[in-house]
Amino acid sequence: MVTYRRMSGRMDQEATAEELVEGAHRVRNGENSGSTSGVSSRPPLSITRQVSSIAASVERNGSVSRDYVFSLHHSCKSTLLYGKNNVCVAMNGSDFAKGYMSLQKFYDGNLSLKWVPNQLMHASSQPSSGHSNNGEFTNFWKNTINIEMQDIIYIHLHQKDEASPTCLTFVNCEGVQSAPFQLPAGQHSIAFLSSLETGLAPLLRLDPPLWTGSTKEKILPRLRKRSTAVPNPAMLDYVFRLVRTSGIEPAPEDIEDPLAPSPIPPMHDNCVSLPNSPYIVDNVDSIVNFQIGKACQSMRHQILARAFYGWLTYVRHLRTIRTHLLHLVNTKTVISDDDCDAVDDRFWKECRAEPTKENEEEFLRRVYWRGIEGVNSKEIRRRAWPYLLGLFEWNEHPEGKLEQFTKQYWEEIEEWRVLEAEVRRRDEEAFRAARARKAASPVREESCEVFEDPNEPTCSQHYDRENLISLFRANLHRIDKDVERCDRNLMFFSNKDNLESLRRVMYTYVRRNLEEGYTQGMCDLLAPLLVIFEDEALTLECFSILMIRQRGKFPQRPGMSKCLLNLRSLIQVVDPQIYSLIADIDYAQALSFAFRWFLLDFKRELSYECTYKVWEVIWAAQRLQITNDFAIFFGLATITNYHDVLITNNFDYTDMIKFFNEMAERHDCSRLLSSARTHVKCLQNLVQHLK
Amino acid sequence: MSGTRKKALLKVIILGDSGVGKTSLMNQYVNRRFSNQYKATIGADFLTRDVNIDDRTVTLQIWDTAGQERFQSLGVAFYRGADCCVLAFDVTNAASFKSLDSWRDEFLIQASPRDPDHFPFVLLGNKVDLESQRAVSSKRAQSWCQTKGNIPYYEVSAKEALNVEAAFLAIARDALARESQETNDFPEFPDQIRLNPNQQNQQNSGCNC
Repeated sequence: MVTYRRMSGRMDQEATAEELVEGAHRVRNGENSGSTSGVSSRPPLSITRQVSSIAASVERNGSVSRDYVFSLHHSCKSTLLYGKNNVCVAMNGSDFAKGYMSLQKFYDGNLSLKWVPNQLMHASSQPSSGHSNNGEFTNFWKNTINIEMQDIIYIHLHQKDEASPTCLTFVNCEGVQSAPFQLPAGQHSIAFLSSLETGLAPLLRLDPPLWTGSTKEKILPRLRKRSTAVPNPAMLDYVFRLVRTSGIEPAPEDIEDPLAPSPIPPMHDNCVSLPNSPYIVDNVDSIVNFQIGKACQSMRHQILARAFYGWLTYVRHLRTIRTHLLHLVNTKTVISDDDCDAVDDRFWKECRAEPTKENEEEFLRRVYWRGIEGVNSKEIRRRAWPYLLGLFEWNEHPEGKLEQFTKQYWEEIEEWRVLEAEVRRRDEEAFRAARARKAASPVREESCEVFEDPNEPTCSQHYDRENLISLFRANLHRIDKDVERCDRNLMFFSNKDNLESLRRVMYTYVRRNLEEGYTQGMCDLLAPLLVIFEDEALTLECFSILMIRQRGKFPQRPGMSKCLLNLRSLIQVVDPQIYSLIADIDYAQALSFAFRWFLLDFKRELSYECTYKVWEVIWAAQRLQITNDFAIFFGLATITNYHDVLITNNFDYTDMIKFFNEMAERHDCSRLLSSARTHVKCLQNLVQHLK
Repeated sequence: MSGTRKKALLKVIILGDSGVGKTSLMNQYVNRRFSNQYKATIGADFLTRDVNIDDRTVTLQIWDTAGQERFQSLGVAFYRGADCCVLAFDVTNAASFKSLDSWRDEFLIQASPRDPDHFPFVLLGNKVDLESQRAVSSKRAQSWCQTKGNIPYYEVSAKEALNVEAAFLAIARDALARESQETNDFPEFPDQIRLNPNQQNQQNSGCNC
């Protein structure tokens, strides 16, 4: 069984996210023996795959090997019913030796009692020390005791008083006694006998049977002493017989038919010669039948309880769906993926040649199910995305609009250039002031810089202008910081000119939407668009449309909370095991790792190439009215894809933050996409069923 | 102290304006490397590093946050349970220095530590390698620290790995010292409430209506 050290705070150095994922795959593929399956307390609604369970196949050699006791516990041929160390056995007359006594039940139903002297066990656990005294070693081997319970007819139990050790002697059918086993005082003998009784059932039983005490524990039967003269009233002496139960009815209902032939053949020839029990056989039958009846009853209860809880879970899931997830998908448009190809060059040309309604449907369907592929996918994206985003009507030719966009764009740049120049002048001034202060190095309390003094302006127009400049200035600083560090690892942005393009588009957007202003993350959304279009004016227009979608999820708006809550409900329904990891924490905290996912529609989580693919599907899903929130399903797929890692390591929310941050740009995007589409389809089916 | 061998986890939050180098500082301290390819932090992330202080292994869990003030409503969850707050500014950017007050206030309001007057803060002035562009003098930063209850101040450079190690070690020490002091000041089981018997009697006698 592979055990990973949890990578929570203090032990993150132990395993990287990738190692964890690999480990989970290894476990799944069964390279390690041991079981990773956990029983889900709330089964999911058919959509989830269960953890692959690898049955423990610890095939151990049952013979006395290096670790005798261990082998008793881990034998495939027998089950250990009872084990006790330091049980004394008289060896040669008065000589006592301590050893390990064990009661094992073999798969064929036979019980055997074994006793191995301590010396042998110690010697065999330290093989190197056993060489010198080989003779003594064989001597010990001779002393091991092995009693087959099927040969035994009497067990004598002798105890002086409550505080003294109990002696057990076994007598076989030939009347031969075994050496007495001395169990320490206390409940050991009772424990042994009750294990034995359990082991003997159903074919054999103890006579008299053990009694059940007031607190359901087993006690020795209280029998009237035959002898009237009791020299020591505290002395306990019992003789148990091992007798065959006369016949077993399969169920208590059949009790009326006591003549039914016993399906069980006699266990052993020796048993035939057993003396008759003083108890009435019918009485014993009824005891056995009663026990079996009770067992059946309990099974019936358990089956009913499981069925009930299964049903309850299902109903709860449906309630979650009804109250939270009903509007996440549209069931009117269940679009199949039958014989559908990706959008390629040929198909796109067809669409542009004949921009019919059917073609548009087909285009969206293909994007949703297969995406845009081909050697010149970038070129197709450049042309198709404005349609996908709804910037152009399907049957519209873009040329006229493009020209207009470009003209307007450059005019706007002219306008903000003036503001920018003013901002730069003030920055320079502020810097010089700061340097001057540093040179003089006066130790003074902080005061506002001169240019920020709001008392200066006298007329309202001036005041407006001041406001405008200071607002624009604050935004420019933020944009500058983020443009400078936007995906510098990408070839495209290692080119300074492209960074300048990015900056210009961002400035223009913020100038247009100064009230909204710049928020971190906008650059990340803008960058892939610029890479695809390589046209600033077109990028700006598409970005504006994209921001209409994304704006709601930005800070101080309710969209993000809604996303996270929906994601939480989806996890609850689809993967209850993962849900159990996050159920007790505030959702915003528990799912904080998903904040960046939804803010940027996974742009930071995926490579550029994958981001394109995911964005297209998100947009197509919306256009097809399948769902406006495909991103949430993609998030769900991202989580359920790492089910094994999350569950095996019992991640808390900080572990998840770390894990998913480390997994950024390492996801298998096609796999996640198809899993997300499956999740959508499943929810559609469930919702349809509900309606 | 009895638990000297206990492994402690100290939660450290780095706050400061966007672009002052919070991510760089954290990475320099934990991974001992600098990259000019870090992106703007969105959401939150953390790294951990074990340090030995006076025979004790302490794990620093350093949380990196987004620098834009608009994101701060999200940070609240991460502020809770912080043992130390690192305020960072860029010595070449006077505005980032001026924001320190609001960062500090914001933290105290959101994290609401038990003893806000003595909560361990540390101030880091980053990018001292850019001396020619410096806009905030060391003295100015130090005097600000004095007015805030003698916050320790370190001039560091994440790029040149200057003073970063020392600063974080001091942070750990400070937080640890604070922690053990808190254990004394605020024991697990609060003192029993002692009602003044005289006062009680007075109240009883006064209420005869």
